[in-house]
Amino acid sequence: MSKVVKIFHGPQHPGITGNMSVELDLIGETIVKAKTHVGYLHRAFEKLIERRTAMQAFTIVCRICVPEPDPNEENFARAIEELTGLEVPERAKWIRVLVLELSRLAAYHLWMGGQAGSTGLYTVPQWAVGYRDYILDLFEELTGGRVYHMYIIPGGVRRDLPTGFLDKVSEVMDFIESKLPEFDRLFFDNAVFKKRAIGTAVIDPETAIERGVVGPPLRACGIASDVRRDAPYEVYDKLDFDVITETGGDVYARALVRRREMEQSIKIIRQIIKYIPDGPYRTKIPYPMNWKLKAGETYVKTESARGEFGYYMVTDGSEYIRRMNVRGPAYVHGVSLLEDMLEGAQLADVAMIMNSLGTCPPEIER
Amino acid sequence: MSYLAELKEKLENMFSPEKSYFPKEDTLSITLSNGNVRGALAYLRDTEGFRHFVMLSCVDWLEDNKFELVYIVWNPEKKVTVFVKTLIDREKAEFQSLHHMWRQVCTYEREIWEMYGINFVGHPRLEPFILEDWKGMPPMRRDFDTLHYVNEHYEWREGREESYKPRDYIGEVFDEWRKK
Repeated sequence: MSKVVKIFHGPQHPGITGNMSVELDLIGETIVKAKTHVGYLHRAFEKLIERRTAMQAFTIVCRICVPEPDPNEENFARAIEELTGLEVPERAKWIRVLVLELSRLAAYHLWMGGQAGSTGLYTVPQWAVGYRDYILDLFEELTGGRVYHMYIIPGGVRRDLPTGFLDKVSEVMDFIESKLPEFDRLFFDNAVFKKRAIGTAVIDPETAIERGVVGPPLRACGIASDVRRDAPYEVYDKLDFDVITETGGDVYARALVRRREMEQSIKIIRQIIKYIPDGPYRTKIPYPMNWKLKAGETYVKTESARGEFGYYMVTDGSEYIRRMNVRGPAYVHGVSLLEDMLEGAQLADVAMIMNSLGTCPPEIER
Repeated sequence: MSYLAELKEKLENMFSPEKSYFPKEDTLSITLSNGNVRGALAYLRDTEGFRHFVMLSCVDWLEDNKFELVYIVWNPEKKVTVFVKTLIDREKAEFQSLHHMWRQVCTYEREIWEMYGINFVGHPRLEPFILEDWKGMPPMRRDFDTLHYVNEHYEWREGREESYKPRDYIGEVFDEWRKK
């Protein structure tokens, strides 16, 4: 006779995912039922933003997602620009894409650390988090902040690129690219990782679409869906890159999608270094403490490292934002989908599956 | 005529929306009566190919005494977005649950139930999501008094009264420290 044991997985976070707890019903080591509990990182950003002007709100939106704050800033800035009809200078758009791609690379390095750490390969996190710091150094020089940048503001970017910055970016890209084959040998071709990841937590394409899966997990099912290609924002329509797909739909396919997208990000960054135009980096905005935002509504989206990241924004003609609602990829992946994926999985694979789906509690509960 | 303009005409003939317009070029926004939401979403999903459910949002229009529910759907082939909106009464906040159409709607409805107090009839799991042991008015309603809540639950930190003049405040402390 089998005995059901109930345990709580978390809220201490397994690797890089963030604090959330999963209530597991186990028979032996097999999960029969999983229930997510979120709320440990709730900071009521959507409520705070209702009582703040656009420029005050801009400083807090980046805190919605810790590993990758820039898609938030970009979404927020673009929503305000669309609603108020601000024109962004061309150079600012290129700088924004540079920042977004750098942040994607940093986020993938962090993910690599989490994914490998949750599989028990502890050298990879040391390397990945170390190399990520070279990107954070670039951010520090560009924006003054390592993790939260508050750089992409409505109307452009906060300051121009420092002298010689693009050469440094180029050096860091060369370095990171030279290290990717080492990660292949250590992690992506690792027999232990392959054995555990192939065939684990498989999503088939129909389910993926029906369940609203986005980003690398969707592309790992063989569906070439990428916001950068489907609804190009900023200057992505002028850049040459491939939308990466794999067909396995399992943890390993998702890992490979992310691994190959790192190369695409480097490719995009090199194009930006080559073709970035000169010109102003921001446009003049109205006096921010008394900036009446034109009434309207919009939905803007960005391809973050975890998938489609969207903001639905409503303004009513006052200086405050009436409603800003965040659609994070983890909101869909990390709650209902995760609960279903975990049923029948092994206890030891929980953290691996969470990482692989890109669970990020700060953006589930904001 | 573009696809979206055609779609707008079709939806206007079928569901007679209260309002429909284009917030931007690849987006259509239609406001329907409560009874037509489910039909319109089913039509968009099954016939027009809006298979990707993006999000469900709620806006509190306190002045009009209404909640506005916004269902956002996206068409992966035509690459256009549609907002299907409906207004419900704020006093008797209730709407049908659409969790059977897309599974992830379940999570969105659960959050809106918690944050706005809208009852979704037929929802399988209306239980606390983000908040813990919350009693009283749902916090995302616009008439929720945040200052009152803070005063009731937290203590003001000593020395923070003057924080609207941070430079002066830091200056005094600095002088005191120098005297020691």
